[in-house]
Amino acid sequence: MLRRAYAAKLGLVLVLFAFLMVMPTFLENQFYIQLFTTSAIMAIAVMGMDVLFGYVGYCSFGQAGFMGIGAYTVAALTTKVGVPFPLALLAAVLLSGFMSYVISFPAFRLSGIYFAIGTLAFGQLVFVIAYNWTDVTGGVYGIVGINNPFGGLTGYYYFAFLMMFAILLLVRRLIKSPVGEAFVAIRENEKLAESTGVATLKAKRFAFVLSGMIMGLAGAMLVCLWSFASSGSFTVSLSLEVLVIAIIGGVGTLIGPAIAAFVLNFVMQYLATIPALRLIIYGILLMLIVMFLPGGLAGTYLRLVEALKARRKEGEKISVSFDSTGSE
Amino acid sequence: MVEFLQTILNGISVGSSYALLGLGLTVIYSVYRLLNLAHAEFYMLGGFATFFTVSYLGLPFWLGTIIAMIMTGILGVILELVVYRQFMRRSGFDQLIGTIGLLFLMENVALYFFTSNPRSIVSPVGNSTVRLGGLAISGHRLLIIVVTLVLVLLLYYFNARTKTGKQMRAVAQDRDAAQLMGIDIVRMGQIAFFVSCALAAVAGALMGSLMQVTPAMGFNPLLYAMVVVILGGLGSNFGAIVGGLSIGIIQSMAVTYVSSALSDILVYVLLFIILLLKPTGLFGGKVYA
Repeated sequence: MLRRAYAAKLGLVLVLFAFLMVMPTFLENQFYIQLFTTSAIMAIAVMGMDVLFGYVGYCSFGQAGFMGIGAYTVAALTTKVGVPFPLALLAAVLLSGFMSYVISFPAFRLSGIYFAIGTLAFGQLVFVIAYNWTDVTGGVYGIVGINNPFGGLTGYYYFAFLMMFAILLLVRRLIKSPVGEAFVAIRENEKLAESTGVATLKAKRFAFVLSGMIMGLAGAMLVCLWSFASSGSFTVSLSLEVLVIAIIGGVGTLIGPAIAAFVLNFVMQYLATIPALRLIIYGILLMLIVMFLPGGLAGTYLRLVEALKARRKEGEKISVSFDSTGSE
Repeated sequence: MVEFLQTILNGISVGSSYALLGLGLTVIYSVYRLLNLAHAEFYMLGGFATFFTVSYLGLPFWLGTIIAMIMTGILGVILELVVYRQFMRRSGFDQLIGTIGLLFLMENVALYFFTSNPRSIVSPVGNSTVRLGGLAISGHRLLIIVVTLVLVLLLYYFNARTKTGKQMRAVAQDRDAAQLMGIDIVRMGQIAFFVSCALAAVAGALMGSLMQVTPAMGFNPLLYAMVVVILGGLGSNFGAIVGGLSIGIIQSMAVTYVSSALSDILVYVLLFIILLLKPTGLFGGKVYA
């Protein structure tokens, strides 16, 4: 039973993988390839958010700040210094990781709402600096002419999906490890976790840095796709948008937010003709989920599955107890 | 010296509107333990309601503002019933996120119907300037300061002297105990929302005629108002006023003596430092987060 479920899952993943790999050769329309690529990068960002919010339970309103740091690092290094793309990408990830390490010191003196507002202040700070530090960031005009490192969109498409799967596997592996268990322990009850010997501050800092690095990667990949970096792209609005996608998908499930990134990105593309409508829908979805479906779509699905299982188990239990009383 | 005093005066007038917004956040927070991020949209709606009553119906500014206060307050009470009360069953973060949903919804519904064209409310005092010694302050900025002062005093009177105000303070101190004492906490919640949204509407009307009325006008003041309440301590009225004024003055000082870019950086850095030294804010007590 278990093995069959596993095989089915593996099969599904392989089919999905094959589909994604061959798709660009059949798709004539560059628009859709671009859309898929953007969605994959957004999925990376959303997973970065999920590591921190979904597993450790700390909600950051400033994660787009790390995307901005990654984005500007790649943009400045490739266009102004002429560093090759892989090195620039590595530098972007490392720098955003380093910045999140630095920020984690003040940030984790806070918790709850205060943590959210403190990180929001950080996000705004990155925006204000990017807006005003014209020598490096170009200010309002941003940095233009970032070359696509793969020449074409198709190459970038493969790169984005490869990265997405790599991040997915990496984070999944981490979540199943003792470190991931420490994360969940902190989310469920931080004081209890601490008193049972979890090094909470270390674990939180690790999650924050990991999240920051993933966000930086996503930001860096986004600007290479767009070929420009502008201070208006990485504001609190983006932080909130990433957060919203994660919540609609269901935080703490990793796959849910990633799928939500694709679905919402596609749905929104058709509604993009009326920009206000996109955020209206986000708003309504968000409120409905908070009111009626806590845990998002994936969380609700898991709950339903659990409930079904529990009911089946209960049914078995009752029949067993009937048997035993009957034989006595 | 004159420049310095002038800067402080300007800071106080901007800070007054932050204080009004911050007070609105505080009033809801103290009764509901909810940081209402959608507060910005009540501010925006207050601006629009005043604009429509003043420009289309030709009512005087003060009457338009009062109508805006009542309309926005009633909308607040309705949303409390339909939306916020549902949020209360969820954990702290979920509530916060729910209010972000409401923020998106309200701002973009406004964007859809009112479009992004900026509108301006004609100030009741026009372009007059008032001279105090060597200082000059525009009549409208003075109006903002005076109105804020009156509202703060009224709110203080309401909290300290009226029975409802005392009940609200009791709810703020301990919700369950207040309920056991026979205080109708549902009604207190409604009153808190009415007061909070009405305060936001006044701020929207005043700032809307100082600057412009647009659907997106609420977001930046919201960020500052959040800094204000965190700085002053969540749930403390006095903290919101002190926080609002000090942020207004700091910004104004930074603009006058250094650059406008620094003013924002300074505000956020200050917030970070305060949170590090005293995570509950200057006048905040217990952390309820």
